[in-house]
Amino acid sequence: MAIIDTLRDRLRPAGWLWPLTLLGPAGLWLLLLLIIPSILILDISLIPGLRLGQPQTGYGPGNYIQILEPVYLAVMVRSLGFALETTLLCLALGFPVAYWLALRAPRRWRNLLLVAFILPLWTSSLLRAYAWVTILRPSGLLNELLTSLRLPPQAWLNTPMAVLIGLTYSFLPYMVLILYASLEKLDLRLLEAAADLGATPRQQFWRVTVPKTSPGIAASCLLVFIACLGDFAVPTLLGGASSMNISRLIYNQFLGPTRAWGFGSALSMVLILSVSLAIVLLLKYGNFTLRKASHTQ
Amino acid sequence: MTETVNPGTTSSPGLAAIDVELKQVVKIFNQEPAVSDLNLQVRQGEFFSILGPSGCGKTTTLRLIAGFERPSSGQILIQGINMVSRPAYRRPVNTVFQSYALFDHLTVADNIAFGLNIQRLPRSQVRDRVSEALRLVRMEGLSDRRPAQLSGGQQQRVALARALVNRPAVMLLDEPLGALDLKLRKQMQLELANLHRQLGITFIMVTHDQEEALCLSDRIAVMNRGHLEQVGTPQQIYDHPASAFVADFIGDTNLLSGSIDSRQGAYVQVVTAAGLKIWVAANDGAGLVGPTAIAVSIRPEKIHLSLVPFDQSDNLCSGHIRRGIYLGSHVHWEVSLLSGETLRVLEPNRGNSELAVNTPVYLGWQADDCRLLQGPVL
Amino acid sequence: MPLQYPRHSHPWSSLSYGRRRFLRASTAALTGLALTNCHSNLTPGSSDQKRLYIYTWANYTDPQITKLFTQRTGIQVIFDVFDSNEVMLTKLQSGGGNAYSILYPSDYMVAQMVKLGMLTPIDPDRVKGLQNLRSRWINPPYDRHNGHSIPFSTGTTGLLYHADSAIGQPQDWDFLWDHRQALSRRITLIDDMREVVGATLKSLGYSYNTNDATQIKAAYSKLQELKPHIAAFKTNGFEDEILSGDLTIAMAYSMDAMPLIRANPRLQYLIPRSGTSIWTDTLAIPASAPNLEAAYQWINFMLEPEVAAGMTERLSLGTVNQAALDRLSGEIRNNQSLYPKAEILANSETIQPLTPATNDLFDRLWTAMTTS
Repeated sequence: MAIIDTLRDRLRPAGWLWPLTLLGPAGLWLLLLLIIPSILILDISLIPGLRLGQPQTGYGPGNYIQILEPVYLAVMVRSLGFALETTLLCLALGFPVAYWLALRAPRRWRNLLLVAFILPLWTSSLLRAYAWVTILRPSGLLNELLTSLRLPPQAWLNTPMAVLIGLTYSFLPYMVLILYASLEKLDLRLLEAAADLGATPRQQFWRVTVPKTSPGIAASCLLVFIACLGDFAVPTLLGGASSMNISRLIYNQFLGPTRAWGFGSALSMVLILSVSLAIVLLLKYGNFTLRKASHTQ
Repeated sequence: MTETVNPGTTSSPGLAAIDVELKQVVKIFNQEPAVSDLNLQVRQGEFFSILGPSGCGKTTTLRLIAGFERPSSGQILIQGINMVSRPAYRRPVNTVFQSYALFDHLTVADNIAFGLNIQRLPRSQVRDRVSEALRLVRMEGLSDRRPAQLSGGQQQRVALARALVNRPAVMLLDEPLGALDLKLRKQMQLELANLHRQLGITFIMVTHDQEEALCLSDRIAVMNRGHLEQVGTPQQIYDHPASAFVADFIGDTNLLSGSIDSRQGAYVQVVTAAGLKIWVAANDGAGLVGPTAIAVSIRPEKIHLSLVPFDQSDNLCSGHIRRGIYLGSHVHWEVSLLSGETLRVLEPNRGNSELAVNTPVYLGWQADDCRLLQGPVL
Repeated sequence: MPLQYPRHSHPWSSLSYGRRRFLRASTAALTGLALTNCHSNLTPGSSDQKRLYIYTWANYTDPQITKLFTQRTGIQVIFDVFDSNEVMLTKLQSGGGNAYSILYPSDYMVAQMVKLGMLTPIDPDRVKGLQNLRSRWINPPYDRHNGHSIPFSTGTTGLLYHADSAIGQPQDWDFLWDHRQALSRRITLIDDMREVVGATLKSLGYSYNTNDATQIKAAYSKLQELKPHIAAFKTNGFEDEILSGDLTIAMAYSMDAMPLIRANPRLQYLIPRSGTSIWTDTLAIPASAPNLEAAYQWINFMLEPEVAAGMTERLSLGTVNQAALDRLSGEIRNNQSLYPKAEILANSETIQPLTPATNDLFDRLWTAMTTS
């Protein structure tokens, strides 16, 4: 500590140096691995029909116009649809769990339960997706269970349902974790106040719990949504013959025989920009509630 | 004893109807009784305070009435209806919370309108009643603020308005002024009293501040360790404490423990542990003659202090001043008696410069100003 | 897994072992470039003549062979691995491969890299054992007279199926269409548009390498009929399902099929009558190779019949080396899956690069097919 204190004293004359020292590594990281690559991708995306190893043409919006072709637009819509469905499913499943963990579970079991819930995150996402193959395939565990219950077996694997199951399973822990953090901070006295004013438990939930945890809900939904858009393993392993999605489409452009880096970059830019936009919106909204919270303290 | 000094529990059919009644209410938390065998009646339109030190069960009692806790046994009646199995949101009471518990995601107006919106009242009616409530608490013009943008006193008013706008049968106030500074607290006390008078609703307030309870309440219930010590008007509580605890908790008093030596008409002579003999009005303490341990309470302002002996008092003794605390309008003296006891005396400040530490003085007081109390001083 | 030519994603020396390897290979594939680039611990200037940096397929790193090479030459071998030709090409083009002196491109990639000037011409005087090559590989179509590459191993694409299925046994690609109702959702095809569309083209009597949009669209229409009955496009990851019988038939690479047949003898592998794609992996020296001497030593070592025979046998590959083939047991030599008869070979083709326009058409068709 003493060394740090002296160090800080030494640095004090140059007041700008200390924040720079703190921010420097992260800033450099962002610059080298996020900002510069993004600019490169933007640059490439503006060269229509760019292919690696071929003479370059001039700048133009051609690659972005190509995205609007129905065949590629369909991929976008499909990916967004899967991400949206997964997000809603995660929210529907995750909220009750987080609620129970944060507000109802016995306090001394809480951390253990939380750890148990996020334990799957310690294994590779690919392994988890592959485990679902074993469960969902025609002679898999799920159908064995159905058969033993005298129910007719279903086709699970290689269906959109399998992708939904796999994605939800993958990202549910993130949803629960963020919602838990948000719900744990909920002031239970507000629920009492609402009950005192005549609100039934359902009204308490919709008029107090939900608005009070909305930043957490928004943050967790956004995270799951973004992660779903970028996921590769689950649609590939579980989605069957119709497993195209936006990240795979981008992959195909860069490493497929077309080697259409320009088009691939344009797709990437659209993805980057829409995700950034969503984050900016969240920060704006999240900041507002944060400011409020700091006032009440 | 309870019969005479505890008029609160005496049924008085001639007076206003009973609004809230607790019958043999017990609440047990983790095998510890937080409230034991509580019997309480609050009359309609009354300003009723529950007073006691922290942990005495007063807040639990309020939460039982509000419905946030369920009693382990007993009945809670509001306007004659047993509420025990009724959830908080179906009880005709509204609470002002110690922490205010304002919804910081809503504006001031929306906070106040919360209960009315739950009742699905017409929009125009909600608007009218919210502005009326805002006017009542003198918060007009701040309706679009967020709670976080208000001062503590303003938040307190919003909390009040949010409760009273619903026109509850009973308002419950949990240490409503506890978070405010002294000056603001005094001011809000006045406003609370005004509001109560204007609205005519029953107020039940929990407080640990005896002064607040004394100046606001029609009646006060003093609680200690989960049970009721005494219920009565402020004057009854102060002048006729039912127990050593009440005497000590409300105001300042000298408590001397001892036993009754003899009886003479309406008076008894008490001998303290140190051997001091005091004449005390017997009240109903006649049955206490004998070795039973009793206590005597003498308020410091009832004791007369003099440099010379005087004979107008039933009790007279001598000692010397050990300490004097200057309080401005009054001086608080600690006097060591020859018998060994120390008595506190509150004298008006008459600019008596002859009094100093070790000055020999005489103390005198009337037997009627003494209270005979059950049990030894704890 | 959406890799264009991932024939070599895993060697199944035994199944329990294979699973682990599969996961590793798949992880590599799914993390794509990121992982391969992590291996660039190589500095362009490391011209140490006692070190040989090789960029190869994940399963081509045979430690036994490597040890022997080091014992004999004193040259230390360091492997980096890739999972598709395109990943390798991209890394080299972006300047991340200057340390390598040996690459293992596949046939069509050799042609592409020659065109881009990325390979060092082979000096025939420094190579020993070229005369041992089987006739088909003496003057291969992708690299005339092996001017820039030395063929090393070969394999085919075919159908892996349950021989005891009631539906019968396939002879040709059309089997899938003829029995698509009975086989519905019990079929997987390789996750590669060139292979899948190519096989369909072949079943229509066209070439794998056609640039004729009409032919390609005809194949696409035909494929659309089969599409609802395809369970998935998987190059790997179908193994458990076919072993358990959840799948009846799978389009597979020969090297992936062989270990499965060993695990479940009811499975058989067929090279369809109308022909298939036949691929060759080669040894090549990049234009930027820092250690030519060691590179030639490695090529000559790999051409030794003993080395080639051992490695191809272990990896379920077909050898292109006649002298190596002669050393293999009769059982392997007569395995028509690895060493198909001449008339089947005659119908089969090497997949070759298409024109950019055809590639774009393929991408649109494939995207549409896997989106619907």
